[in-house]
Parts: sequence; C-alpha cells; structure tokens
Amino acid sequence: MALKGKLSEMGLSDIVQVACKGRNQACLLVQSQGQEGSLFFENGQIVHAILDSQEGEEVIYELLTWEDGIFEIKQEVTPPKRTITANWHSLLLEGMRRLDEQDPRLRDTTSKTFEDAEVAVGNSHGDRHRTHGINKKEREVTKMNANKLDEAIEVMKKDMKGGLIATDIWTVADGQSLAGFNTQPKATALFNELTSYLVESLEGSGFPALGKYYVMDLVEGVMACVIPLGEYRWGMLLDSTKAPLGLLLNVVIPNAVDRFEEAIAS
Amino acid sequence: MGEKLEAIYNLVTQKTGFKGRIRLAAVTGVSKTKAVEMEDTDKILKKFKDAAAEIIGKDVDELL
Repeated sequence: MALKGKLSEMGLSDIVQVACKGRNQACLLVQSQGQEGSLFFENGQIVHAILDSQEGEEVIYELLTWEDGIFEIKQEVTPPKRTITANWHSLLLEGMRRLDEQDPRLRDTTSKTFEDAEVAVGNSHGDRHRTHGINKKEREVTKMNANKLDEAIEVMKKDMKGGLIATDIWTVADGQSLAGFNTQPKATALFNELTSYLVESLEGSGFPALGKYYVMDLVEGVMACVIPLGEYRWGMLLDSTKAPLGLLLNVVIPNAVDRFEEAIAS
Repeated sequence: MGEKLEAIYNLVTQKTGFKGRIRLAAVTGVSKTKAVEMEDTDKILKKFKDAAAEIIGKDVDELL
C-alpha cells in the first residue's frame, strides 16, 4: 500500500521518521517544482538517496528544504544501491542544522507533526555530538540548544579535574547519545535499560522513586553515575582517584544539571 | 530577586527530582540560574506556579 500526501501537510522529517520506524523496505518519492527525489529505506535507516544526478546524504539535506510538493511512500521497494551509512537521527540533525543556518523559519515548516523525536538545533560534530529532543507532548518546549549541551560537557570535564573517563547525555526513548565525551554507545544503551529497570524495580517494590542520581562503585577505582533528567539521562564514568565522590555529588552533578537546564531552557 | 521563583524550583526538585526541574525549565524557558536573577513579577510567577502545579500535580501555593 502506498502512502501519499503533501509536504505542506507533513514535513519530510516526519515522513522519514515514519518510514524509519516502520523498518520496512520502502521508497519515498518526493516531487516539487518539476524535480523528483527519492529516499530508500531498509531496516529502519535511510540507505540511499537520489535527486537528479546527485546521490547520498546531500540529497537528504536538499529535500529537507522543500516546503511544497507531494510525496509517496512505496513499500517493498529494494534499494538499488547503498550510498548512505549514517544514522537517520544524525542525518535529520545535520539537515536541521543546515536549515537553521539558512533560515530558522524553514526548519519549522519541515516538521509539523514530529511524533517521538524532534531533531533540534545542532552542531556539526556528527555522531559524537548530536542533539535531538524527545516527547511529542513536550515537542514545543524540548528543543535543545546543542552548543549549551556541549558547554555542559566541557564544564563537567573541567569540574572533574581530569577524572572524567567518559560521559554521554542520551534520550530515554531510544537510548541514543545526544552529546558526550569519549562517547560509549553500547554502554549508553545498556545503562538506559538498566536505569529503566531500576526505576521500575523501585516502583514495583513500593520503595520511594529514584531521586537525583545513582552512583555505582566499580573495581579499579572507577565510578559510574547516572542522572535522570526527565526524558533524558546523563551518565558518566569516573576515575574516583581524581574525581572523589564529594566532588561528584557537590560540584559536578549540580553544575551539570544547571548547564543541562540552560540547554533545555534556551 | 527571584526568591519566589527559586522557591518554586526548589519545591519542584524536592518533589520530583531533576526530572521535574528539567520539565519546569523546558516549560518556562527559564533555567534556575536565570530564575534566581529575575524579578518575581506576577506574570512570571503565575507562569511558574502553573507549570509547577502541572508537574507536581498539586497547587503550589499550598506547598510553598
């Protein structure tokens, strides 16, 4: 079955999300002002894009600028080739960043019904530093200031006085890192699961809910700490000989939350 | 300056942890750091109280 519509009613970023979350093989045809672009999806990712003689990621960024036109998603279409390897979140983020650079108003027109994930203003650090907000209910308020998020990471590094081994800020919804230092995608995904399990366990046991953070004492002088921040979580791995618990609890975490809050509020 | 706004922030954090605090920042567009520096005007106080009430699920005036 094909899904058709107008870009003026459903922005390309929303369509991409629908297609990626469907995880089917599909082709998205987009037509506007005599041009036709195509995106090919497989296993929840965009694997190929073509517009005239152009192929690859740049096509996505170009299509994201199209405000008017029509689209059609055809299911069960095998990609003719693979020209894209980046995660679709990252691609949308970069596209949004470019739109913001061109004209911030454009970005709003490309995303009218973002469901679970909204890619917000970002930077160009690629996978190691990417930013997208989450939560359809809070969509209008959870746009993140990526520069401030990066600042938050920098402040944490400074506060730790060389004791920060790795850190990631991620979304609860998909366990994907938004920003980090020495980012650990596997650990991020697993600690996201662990934290959710912990939250559920506390709830199920009738204990009070998880508070501001939890800290794990690991062997070899390492500590792991996770700060739940609503739709986000911030995890860090520390060298406890350089960043003792007192410093973590009284300096690092308060400053980290302040900075994260700045990123959200701005 | 900002004592009442700060009190609302503290209340929300006390009741809901960082989760609520971040939500308050998102809804109001004002971080705690900035709230402390702002004037407690009726308009901004109402905005904060409404947001906090939604987050906590109770009238903020009863808790402050």
